[in-house]
Amino acid sequence: MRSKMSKYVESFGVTRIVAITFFLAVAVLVPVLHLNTLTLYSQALTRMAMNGVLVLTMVPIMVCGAGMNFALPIGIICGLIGGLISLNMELTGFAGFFAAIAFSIPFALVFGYLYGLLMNRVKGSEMMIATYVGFAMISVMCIVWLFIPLDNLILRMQMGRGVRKDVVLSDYWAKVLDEFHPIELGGLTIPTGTFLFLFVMCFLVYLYMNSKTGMMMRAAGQNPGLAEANGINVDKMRIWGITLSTVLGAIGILVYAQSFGFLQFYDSPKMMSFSAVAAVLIGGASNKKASIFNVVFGVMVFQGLLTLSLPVANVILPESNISDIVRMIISNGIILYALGKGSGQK
Amino acid sequence: MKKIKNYISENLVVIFFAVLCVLAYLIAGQAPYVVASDLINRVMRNSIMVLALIIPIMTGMGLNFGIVVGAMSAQAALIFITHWRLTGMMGIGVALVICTLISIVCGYLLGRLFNKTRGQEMITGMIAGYFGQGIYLLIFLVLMGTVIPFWDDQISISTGIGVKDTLNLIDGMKGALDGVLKLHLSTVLMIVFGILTAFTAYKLWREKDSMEKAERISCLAKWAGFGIGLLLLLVIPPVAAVVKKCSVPIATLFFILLVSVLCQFITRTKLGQDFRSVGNDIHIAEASGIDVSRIRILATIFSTVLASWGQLTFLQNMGTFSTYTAQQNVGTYAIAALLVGGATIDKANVKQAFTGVVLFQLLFLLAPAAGTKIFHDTQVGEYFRTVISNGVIAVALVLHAMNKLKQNAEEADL
Amino acid sequence: MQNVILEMKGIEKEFGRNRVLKGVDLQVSAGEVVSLVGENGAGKSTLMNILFGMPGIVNTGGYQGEITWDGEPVKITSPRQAMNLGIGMVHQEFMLLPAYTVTENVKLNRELTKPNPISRVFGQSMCTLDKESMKRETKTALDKIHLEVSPSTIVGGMSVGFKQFVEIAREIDKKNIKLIVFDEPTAVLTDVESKWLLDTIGEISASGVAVIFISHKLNEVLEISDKIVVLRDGELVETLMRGQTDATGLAKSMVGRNVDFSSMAGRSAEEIEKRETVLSIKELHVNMPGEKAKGITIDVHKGEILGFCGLAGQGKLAIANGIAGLYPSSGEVIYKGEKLPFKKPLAVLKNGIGFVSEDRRGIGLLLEESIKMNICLLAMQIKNRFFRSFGLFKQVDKGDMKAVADAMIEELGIKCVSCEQYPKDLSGGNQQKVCIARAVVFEPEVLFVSEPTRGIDIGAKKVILDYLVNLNREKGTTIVITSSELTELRSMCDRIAVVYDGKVKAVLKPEDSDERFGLLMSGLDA
Repeated sequence: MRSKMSKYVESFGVTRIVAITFFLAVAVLVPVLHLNTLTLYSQALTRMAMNGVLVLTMVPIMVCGAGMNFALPIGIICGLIGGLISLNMELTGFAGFFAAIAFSIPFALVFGYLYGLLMNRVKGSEMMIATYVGFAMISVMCIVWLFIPLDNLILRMQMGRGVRKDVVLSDYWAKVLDEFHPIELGGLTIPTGTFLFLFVMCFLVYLYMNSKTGMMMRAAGQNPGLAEANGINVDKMRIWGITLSTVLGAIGILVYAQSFGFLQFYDSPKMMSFSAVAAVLIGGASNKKASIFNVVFGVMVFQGLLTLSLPVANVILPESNISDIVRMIISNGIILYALGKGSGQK
Repeated sequence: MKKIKNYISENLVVIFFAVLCVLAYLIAGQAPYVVASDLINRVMRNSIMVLALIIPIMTGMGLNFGIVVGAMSAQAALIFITHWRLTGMMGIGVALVICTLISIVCGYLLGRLFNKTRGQEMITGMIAGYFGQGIYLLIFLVLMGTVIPFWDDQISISTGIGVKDTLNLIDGMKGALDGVLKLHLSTVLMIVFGILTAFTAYKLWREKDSMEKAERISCLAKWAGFGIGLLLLLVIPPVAAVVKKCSVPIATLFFILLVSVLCQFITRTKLGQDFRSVGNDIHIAEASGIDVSRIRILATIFSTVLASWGQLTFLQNMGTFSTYTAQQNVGTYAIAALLVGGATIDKANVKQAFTGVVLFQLLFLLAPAAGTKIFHDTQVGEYFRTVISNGVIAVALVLHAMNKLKQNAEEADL
Repeated sequence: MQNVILEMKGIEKEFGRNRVLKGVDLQVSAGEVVSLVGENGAGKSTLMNILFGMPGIVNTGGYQGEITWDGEPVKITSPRQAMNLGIGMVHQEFMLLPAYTVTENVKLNRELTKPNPISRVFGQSMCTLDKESMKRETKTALDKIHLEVSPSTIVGGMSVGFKQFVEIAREIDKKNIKLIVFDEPTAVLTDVESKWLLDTIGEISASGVAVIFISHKLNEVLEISDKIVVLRDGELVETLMRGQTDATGLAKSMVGRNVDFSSMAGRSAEEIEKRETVLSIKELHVNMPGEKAKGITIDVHKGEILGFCGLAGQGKLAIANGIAGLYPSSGEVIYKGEKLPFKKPLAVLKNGIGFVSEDRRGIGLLLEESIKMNICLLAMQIKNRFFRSFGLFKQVDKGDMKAVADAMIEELGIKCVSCEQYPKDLSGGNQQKVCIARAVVFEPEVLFVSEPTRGIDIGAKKVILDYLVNLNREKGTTIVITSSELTELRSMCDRIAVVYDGKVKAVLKPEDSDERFGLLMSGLDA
């Protein structure tokens, strides 16, 4: 019985159990400590919804065999470019938001494709390279942002050119999804639009993964040798998966930004991939398998934990910055765990 | 002619960055003395961290992004030293002992982890670094003053929980190692020349029978070349002024030399041979009875300890550091420097480490000024630094992965 | 009799339900050359792995039986222990580090050192290498086997033959060496090098070191052995002393089995050869590592079952792999009057040519996808089956998949909980059935099957073979089966081609004699 238990724990992952237990603990502690439960829960819901698409990017790229998407910054940069164009045209509301998405997609397609080509030439070392290619892209873009000519004063730095570090969206399309028919349940606010958008994206990805391309992508990701022998073009499948992931990354950052209220340039996207990777892993994904369920469940637990742990910790340990610490330990812990498991199976 | 071509293709990376440095110097137009003394300072405080990377590369584990853990050990040691108000060589000594002990433990754990994720050491090292930072934050920001009883009016945050986010080393600790003895660059160069003379003479005498004539001439030519170069440095007025003015911290230099001699020495021992064997082919090494896991753990411990020494040297030179972020870029900068020196992910030596540190730090200190000159924007240069460091690493990783795939294909073909 | 150095008694070994050694005895005396011969899978390498305490043996439950070394009973549990006892091995694939010099390789992990001040404090591993002595001793070892090469040469650039000799030098250099195992050392050598090697082995044994020699080259075996031990199906068949037999006798005892001629399903070869040719293979070269095909020419007739037999490494596996497009090939393969392209698996599959790979766990299965997905994958990819159209887009029809998968599970008797289970939890036999099911659902006209029964239990073997024959008889599928198990081929094939050195040596009938098969497989004429 005991060995069966420990085997079950092993297969489920200690870190994952810790994360879920923590989440449940803080979720219970919030009302127990007489904190402003409904507001905090509403905040948690918003965080889940706004991060959802960013986590969803992990599905195609992990399924197609290119590993955890540490190159999420590439998709994010494409999203930022789209947002920039839309803002510069001074589009507001839904028009602004969807224009941003529309403008970002071509960039994402091109960058995703190029990135896919690169990944096909470095099979086996994708994750490390993805991380540093992502970092390098961000630092290159830092210089590019400095020189972009802009018309809209809200974007432009005082010196006359270049993008501001944080662009405030409140006059344009902040909260367009969040405040689309929000549901109020006695103080609990559910950001309907954002959830709706997330579910639509999830559904589209689900359809894609269940199409012929999706099925073949799964085979290619799990066993490239077998896929090749069965006439599947593995490289092409990987490029599809990576490109799709990049496009989702671009959309994801825009959804995030509309909830957050800011579009953040320069160094800000650098570490975003780690949280997204951690979320999908907590949701139960492994190196080569990730499902929509993993995304939704993972983002719920992980973001819920991060949002709720801060106020709870503040009661127990005033003025500590525990939320960041929890994020660092849990997210990197679970990635380490997945790495150990991934190579152990070989 | 062909020799020159070979030389260029073998040292392409170094030449590229050397040219970049020269351009940056010309554009930046900073005073030579400022550049030289700043460079000496930077090389002194960054070298050991780069040397820490060599052994894991030799052992086939690639670039050790986990040296961040070593850096944090040193920071922890310094926090203790400051708390105990230890200064001078005493402070340095105790700090060395503490950080060595912590980093041995951390290195052991990291090595265990690397053994579990064979083939993915680099990403593991990086993530382990972030994970370690989380633990470090947890200990010094949350547990200190709550679980661990701790109060120090100079270090603690006023609430009593955690350590302040900027730590000033107390007087007498800042530059404790650097300050032991400082000599002018000209003096140091002359001493080096003296040693070289003695060494050359000894070599000629010892191998007087076995040495070929050509070898003997090249040996003498090297000596003479260095001598003439030194003479020129001391004679040409603008250069001479700089050389005579710059000072070199001798104790730090000595420490760096000691570490590099240690690195060299290791390669000549049985342990070093085991490192190399494991690095060459882990399976064959295993089949020939080498305890591969143990060797890899030893290599990791070695690297982590050197990294902690490196961070200690760095921080005593700076005198003040931000408790929670000082370690952040340590790995990236050290690795980028090594790669600039012409090292690759499976080959690195002490020479490349030093070449790399000099070029990388030179570029680093010139970039902001050069950027400002060209773009009239101070930030460009700052960002250019990160482009260089991240870019160099990304390119090196890509080239390495492509080479490996090509090699595998070739092997399958045989 | 000289003093016996090694005695293995009643050695048994099972892998799962598979018994690969069934009580083998082996006795080796000092200075004696003992040859082990037998087909692939006869148990030679398992026996040697046991002798070396390889992890593959230790981790799968060890072995039964006794080993006596130099008069003492021993239980060998690690290669290190074997080395310490004085057992050396010259591997078939080189255990050499290409970037190292000859000296460094010969002395790998046995480096000579001298102490220095630091090592006195920190212990042995800090001792400096004594390069001079290492070089000197290496030179002595190289001289012993007459290898004229500088100890400072980098091994990577040396010829295959030289590398083999460096391996031997390493074993010789071990001071306590008492027994050296040569695992097919001449397979990669030229004739001159082989001669030189055999002479060297003679010298080694003359110096009192015992030698175990494993080879498929019967002439060599007869030339150098004092004693020949024949293994077959994990059993010791015969122990022959020098001069007791010749090549024909040896071949017969290697292959010979009580084949039940009445159970043979094969049809008359003459009849078959009158049928139309579906696949015409001409001068097929396939660059498959370790299994190169060097000019295969044969016609495959409609509706037949053709077998390819041959020893490992001779290239029989390369034929199916090359045609299926998995390895770079040249030559000509004509299918129904059209030339098949090489390295294009998709085109081959679209023509209706299926392939069940010998590398079951490698490229045969998606270990972590449902059995259902595994079975339907190929038909999905090639024939666009199992999709439902929703106007603009198509979605997988999971119901249809399940129905087909369940039918196949029933038909082949795949033992599983449901078609949603992952193949990684199935036994080897059931995994193989899944592989075959995938190829069958795709409804090929010609089906290549490689090693369908390797490493699976008897029950599953029979089901699979019967199923293939059935498929051939009922649907008329042409089947080309490659196998190391000659008995199987003889029980089901219409014709059997013997592959040797990358070429078709002869096409035989199943009922031809054991000697003919044995000699032809060993490359001798019969």
